[in-house]
Amino acid sequence: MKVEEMEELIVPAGKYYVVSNPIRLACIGLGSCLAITMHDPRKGLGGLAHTMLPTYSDGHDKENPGKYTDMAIYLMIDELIELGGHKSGLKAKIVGGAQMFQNPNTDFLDIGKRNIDSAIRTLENEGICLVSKHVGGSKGRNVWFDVCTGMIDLQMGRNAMISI
Amino acid sequence: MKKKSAKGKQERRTKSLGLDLFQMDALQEIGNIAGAHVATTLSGIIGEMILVDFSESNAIFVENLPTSIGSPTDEVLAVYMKVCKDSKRKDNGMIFLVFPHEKALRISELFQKKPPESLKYLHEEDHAAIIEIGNICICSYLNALSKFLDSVFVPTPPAIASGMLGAILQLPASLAAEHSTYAIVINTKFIRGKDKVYGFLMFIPDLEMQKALLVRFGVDPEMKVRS
Repeated sequence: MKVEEMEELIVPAGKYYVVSNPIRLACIGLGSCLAITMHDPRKGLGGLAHTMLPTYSDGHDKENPGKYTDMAIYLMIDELIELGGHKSGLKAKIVGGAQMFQNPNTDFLDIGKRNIDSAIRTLENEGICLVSKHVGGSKGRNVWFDVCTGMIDLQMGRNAMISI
Repeated sequence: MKKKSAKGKQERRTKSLGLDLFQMDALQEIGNIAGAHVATTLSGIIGEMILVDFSESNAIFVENLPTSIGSPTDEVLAVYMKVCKDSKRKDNGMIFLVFPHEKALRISELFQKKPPESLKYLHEEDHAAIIEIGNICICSYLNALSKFLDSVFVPTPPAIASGMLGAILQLPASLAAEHSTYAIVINTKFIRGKDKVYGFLMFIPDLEMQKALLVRFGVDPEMKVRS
């Protein structure tokens, strides 16, 4: 199916979607949040999480675990396996985690970096292969994840679109 | 009719969060009071008449905060400062002054006395100018707040961000998510002549600050909220 014809679904902040149909999952206006994609190339399954905080213990809301980087990864792995995927075959990519506000005294604002670190650590602990990442910086990103191919198209600030 | 419907929607939303509309109206008043100070200050800085279009207060689920004042892809410039009470350095809230990118160009021209329409991009000195304007405006807001609450509120040094509105407002959303499922947002919109959106000032008080404001307004501060 051509990309232009594909249905697109925007994943809001704090949510994750796992799908088995040919669809593009998108995150629009990604700043300090992180987009984590997982793809099973053999089964054509995929998922995208739009997480806000690094770990489940960081946040107040315990009813929406998709807000948290570590928990969203665990849940996406479980749901991909339920749909017939194999954990050992999952390929992950991460995008986002920018530090939008620039000031020498605002290291505490770097939630983005903490999100990135949490994702890398959690994927490593789960034995999931992190095949690509486009993280950090001080500009927002728009992200489109093709569930069929596992490819991500992204645009950072006003830069040209790239694929990873 | 439309207004009634919007009011009904707000009522349903605030009730679902356990908030009282009377309390929300009281919090909104601070947006009118302090926002007017900012409009006067900004008018003085750039030599143009800036007015408050409206102020509103809303209880917003943290994940919806990035899209609460516009499209997530709107290009803006934002100045951020934390609000601390006295010398305790304890955070009492967050303030964001947001200008659409096009307006930031014009403001920077006026501030630096550059010819009109001469700026196409914001350079480092323009960012510095916007930071300075943001600093002055936010301090003006805090002065009004300090007088109103008979306390001293001081800001942290300003930080600036440029880019998509949705990406920028993910920061307050994430910071608020550490303590709550939603944020009380007091939003003031500024206009100038035919410019329907000249800028926004977004104040996100913490629970302690909310209570102090309600007491000052003579409203029951016992917030029946899920903190």
